[in-house]
Amino acid sequence: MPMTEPWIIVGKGPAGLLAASLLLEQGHRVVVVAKGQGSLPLWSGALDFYSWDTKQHPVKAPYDHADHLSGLSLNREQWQAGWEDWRRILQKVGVQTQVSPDHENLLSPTLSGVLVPRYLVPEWQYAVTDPEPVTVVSWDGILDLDLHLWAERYQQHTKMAAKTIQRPGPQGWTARWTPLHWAGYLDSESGRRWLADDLEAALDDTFDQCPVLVPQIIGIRHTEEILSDLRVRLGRPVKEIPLIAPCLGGVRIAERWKEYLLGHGVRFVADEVVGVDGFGVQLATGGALSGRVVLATGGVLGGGFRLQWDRTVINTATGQSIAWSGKPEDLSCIGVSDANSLWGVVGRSAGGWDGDRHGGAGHVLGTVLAWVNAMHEEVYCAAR
Amino acid sequence: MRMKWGKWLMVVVIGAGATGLGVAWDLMLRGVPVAVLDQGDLGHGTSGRFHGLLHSGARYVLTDAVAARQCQTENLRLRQVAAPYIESTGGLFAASPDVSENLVQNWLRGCHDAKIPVAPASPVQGMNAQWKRIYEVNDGVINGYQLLQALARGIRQGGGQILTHRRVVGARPMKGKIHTIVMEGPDGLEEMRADAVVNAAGPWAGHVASLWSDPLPLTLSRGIMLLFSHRQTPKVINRLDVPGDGDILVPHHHISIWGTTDTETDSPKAPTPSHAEVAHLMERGLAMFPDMGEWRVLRSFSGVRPLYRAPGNLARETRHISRDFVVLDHPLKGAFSVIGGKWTTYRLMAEQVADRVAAYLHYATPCQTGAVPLPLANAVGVGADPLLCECESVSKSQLRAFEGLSLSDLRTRTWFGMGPCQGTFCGHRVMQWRSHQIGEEAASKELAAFREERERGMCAALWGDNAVEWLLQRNIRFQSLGESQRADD
Ligand SMILES: Cc1cc2nc3c(=O)[nH]c(=O)nc-3n(C[C@H](O)[C@H](O)[C@H](O)COP(=O)(O)OP(=O)(O)OC[C@H]3O[C@@H](n4cnc5c(N)ncnc54)[C@H](O)[C@@H]3O)c2cc1C
Ligand SMILES: Cc1cc2nc3c(=O)[nH]c(=O)nc-3n(C[C@H](O)[C@H](O)[C@H](O)COP(=O)(O)OP(=O)(O)OC[C@H]3O[C@@H](n4cnc5c(N)ncnc54)[C@H](O)[C@@H]3O)c2cc1C
Repeated sequence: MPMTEPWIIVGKGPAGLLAASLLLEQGHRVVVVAKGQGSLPLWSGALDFYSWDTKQHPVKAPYDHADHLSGLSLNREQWQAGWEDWRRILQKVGVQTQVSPDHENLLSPTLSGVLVPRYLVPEWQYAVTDPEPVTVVSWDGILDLDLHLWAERYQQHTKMAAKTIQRPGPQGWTARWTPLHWAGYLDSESGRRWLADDLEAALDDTFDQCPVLVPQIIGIRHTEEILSDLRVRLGRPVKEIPLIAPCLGGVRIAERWKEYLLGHGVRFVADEVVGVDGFGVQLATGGALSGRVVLATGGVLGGGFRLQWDRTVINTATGQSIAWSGKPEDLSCIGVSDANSLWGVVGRSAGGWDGDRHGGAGHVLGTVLAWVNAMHEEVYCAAR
Repeated sequence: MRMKWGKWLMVVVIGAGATGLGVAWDLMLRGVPVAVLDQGDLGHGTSGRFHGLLHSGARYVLTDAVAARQCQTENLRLRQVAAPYIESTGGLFAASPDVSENLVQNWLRGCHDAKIPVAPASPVQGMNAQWKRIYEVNDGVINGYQLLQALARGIRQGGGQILTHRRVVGARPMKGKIHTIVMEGPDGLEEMRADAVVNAAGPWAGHVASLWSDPLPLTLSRGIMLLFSHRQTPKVINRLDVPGDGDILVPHHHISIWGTTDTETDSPKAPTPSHAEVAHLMERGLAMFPDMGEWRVLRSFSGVRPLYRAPGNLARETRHISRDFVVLDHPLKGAFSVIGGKWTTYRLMAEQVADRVAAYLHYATPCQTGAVPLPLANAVGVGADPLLCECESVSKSQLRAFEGLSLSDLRTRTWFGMGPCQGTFCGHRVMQWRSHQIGEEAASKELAAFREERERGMCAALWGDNAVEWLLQRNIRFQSLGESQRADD
C-alpha cells in the first residue's frame, strides 16, 4: 500500500479518535468523517475496562477475568500495552490520567455517591484505590448533584465520613446556569478569583486535610491550572465529581484531542457516510473520498446503525442491513462482528460486547487493538 | 380493625377514574356526602390510558347510534363546564380510495341524523394524497389527567374525601343493605361506613361486584396506542370507515397519539403492547401517513376498555359491543354499578348513576354538573425556579405542590418524565428531591419502579431516535450514575 493513500476514519467518538491517533503515529495520512459529535461529550471520560462481574459485583482486578479477556483474543500483555498506548496518547493530547500502580481498578464516585470501579481516570476527577473521608462542596443550581443524598450514599458504601457544604452561586449567577455556563465563568480571571475565595471561605471552619470534591464545572481550558492553584492555596487536593451530559470531562478530552489531531495534519470532514467500498466512502452531500476505510460509527447509540419500525437494522454507513434478535437487551451489543476485509470496524459498531455493563472504553480499546493486529498481519502477509 | 372513616351518611365511590370522580362530583353538588377510593392514584385505570379524543360522535354514526348521540351532546356540554381542560382542535374524517361512496353518503346521513355538523375540508399536509374525501367535525382533545385533578379539587373543596392507594377488598351488609366497605391501604386494613356504594371500577368492575357476589356481564378489550413526538397535525384525524384498528391520530400539546386496537382480553391490568400489535398499527398508519415511519416515536402504551355486553349480544369481536353504558343495581340494597361508556360521556354516566343513588337516599336535588363549571387549577409560579424536567418544563416548586406523592404519582400530576427523554435526566433529579422526604432507600426503589415503567413503554416502540434515546438512558444510568444493574439481570 502506498503511504500516500489516506485512511478514512468514519466517526469521531473515542474509537475513531484512538484509531486516527495510532495511524498518525505510524506515519499515515488520516481523514476523519463524522456526522455528529460522538459520545465523549456525554460522559466524563473515565475509561472503564471490566468493572462488574457476571453477578454485577464490583471488580477489583479486571485481569483476573480470563473469560472476558479472551473475548477479543488479546492476552494480558497486549491489553496492558494497549492501555499504556492510550494513556500515552491522552498525555500528548494534554490529558493526564491516573491509573492504579498494580493495574487494578480505581474507585471513583458518581454524582449520586456510588463508587464505581474505573480503570483509567483523568487527573481532574476524584479516584482512589482506598476510600477516605472527604469534604464535598457544591453551589446552588447544580441540580444533578444533591449533597445530602451524595453523602448518605458515600457513607453507606465506604463507611467513611463525608462532610457537605452547600454555597450560593457568584454574582450574576442565575438558576438556569448549566455546567457549560459555570465552566465558561470559571475559566475567566474573575471566575477563578471568585472560586478560590469562595472555597477558602467555605472551608474556613474545617481543619481536616481530607480532599475537597467539587462538581465537574472547573473550566474547560484552564482546569489543571485552576486545580493546582487551589491545591496550593487550600493546602489539600481539590478534585471533581463528574456530572451528566453535557459532561465537561468528556468535552475537555474531545476538544483537546481534536485540536491535537488537527495540529498534526488530520483533516476533519463534517458529513454523513452513505456508502463504503474497498476504495473509499460516499458522502450524503454528494462527494466521495478515496482511501482505506475504518468504521467507528458507534453502533445504534452512535448512529452507525438505525432501527426501523419493522425491526430491520440498517448500517447507516454501508446501507447493508443486519440481524437483531428483537430483544431490547441485545441492542447495545449490535454491530458487525465478522470484520470485513475491505474495511475495518472498531468501537461500539463492532458489536458483541455489552458496553452498558463492562465499560465502553475497554471495548473501544479491545476492538481497536484487534483491528491494528489484523492490519499488521495483512501488511506482513503482503510483504511476504 | 378500626372504623376510621365516616360516622354520618356516606356514599362510597370505588374508582377515581373519570366515571367515579364524575359521580362523586355530581353527588357532592347535590349535597350528598361522598368519599372516593382508588387502589392507585387518580387515573390509575383506563382514564389515564386513553386516546384523548373528545368525540364529536361521528365515529359511531355508522355502527352505534346511541353512543354517537351521547357523544354529540356531551361534547358540547364539556366544552362549557370543563373548558380549560378541553382543546378545541376540530377533527377531520378522511376516506381512503377503498371506501365506497355509498359508505361515505351513509356516514354523512348518520351525522345529519345525530345532529353532528359536518363540512367539507381541504387536504392535510403529509397525508396520503389519494385520500381526497375529507370532512370536518367538532372533535376535540381531552386533557385527561388535568380534568381528573379538576374534578378531585372540586370534590375536596366541597367537603368530599378522596383516598388514593386504597384497594377495596370487602363489602359487608347489614339487614340486606350495604353497611361497611373494607379496604386495604398503606396502613393495613381499614373500614368505612357506607349507606350506598357505587362501583365505578372500570375494567375491575367485575372483581368489585363479586365482593357482593353479583357477577357483571363485563367484557374487557385492550387497545394499543403509539405516542409520537411533535404535533404531527393541528387537528384530530379519523379514518372515515366503519370503526377499525389504527384509525385515529390525536394531537396532544406537543405530541401526537396514534391508535388504536380492539381485542378481547382477560386481565383488567393494562398489558405491555406486543411487537405484532405495534407493527399492525404502523402498517395501518403508513397507509394514511406515508412517512409515519420517520416520525419520532416516544413509546407505546395500552388501555383496557370495560364494555357492557347486553344480554343476547353474542358478538364475537369486542368492536361490535356498544360503547353505550349501563347503570345497574344489585340484590344488595344500596349497591350500584356503572359499566361501559367513554371518557367523552363520563358526565352523562355520572348523572344517571347519581340520579339513582340520590333517589335511593331520598335526595331531591337535581343534577347540576351540566351547568356548574369545574374549578380551575391553582396557578403554580414557574419563574426563576430551576427546571428539574426540561422536556416538560417542570420546576421544583411544581413538585412541591404535590409533596408526599410517589415518583410515579408525581409524574402523572406534573407530567415530568413524559417528554422525549422519558426521564433519562429528570428521573434522577426528582428522585434526589424525593429522598429528602422518604430517605435514600425508599426513593431509590421508587426510581427503579419509575424507570421500569418508562422503559416498558419505550421498549414497546424501539426504533429510530427512540432506540438511541433508550441506549443513552442505559449508559447514563449504569455508566454515569452507577444505578444498580441488578434489577434487569
Ligand atoms: C452517557 C454515556 C456515558 C458513558 N460512560 C462511560 C464510562 O463511564 N466509561 C466508559 O468506559 N465508557 C463510557 N461510555 C462509552 C460508551 O459505552 C461506548 O463505548 C462509546 O460511546 C463507544 O464509542 P465509539 O467511538 O464506538 O462510538 P461513538 O462515540 O458513539 O461515536 C460514533 C461516531 O460515528 C459517527 N457516525 C455514525 N454513523 C455515521 C455515518 N453513517 N457517517 C458519518 N459518521 C457517522 C457519529 O456521528 C460519531 O461521531 C459512555 C457513553 C455514554 C453515551
Ligand atoms: C385504548 C383506549 C382508548 C380510548 N380512547 C378514548 C377516547 O379517545 N375518547 C373517549 O372518550 N374514550 C376513550 N376510551 C374509553 C375511556 O377511556 C374509558 O371509557 C374511561 O376512561 C373509563 O373510565 P372509568 O372511570 O369508568 O374507568 P377507569 O378509569 O378504569 O377507573 C376505574 C378505577 O377504579 C379503580 N379500582 C378498580 N378496582 C378497585 C378496587 N378494588 N378498589 C379501589 N379502586 C379500584 C382503578 O384503580 C381505576 O382507577 C378509550 C379506552 C381505551 C382502552
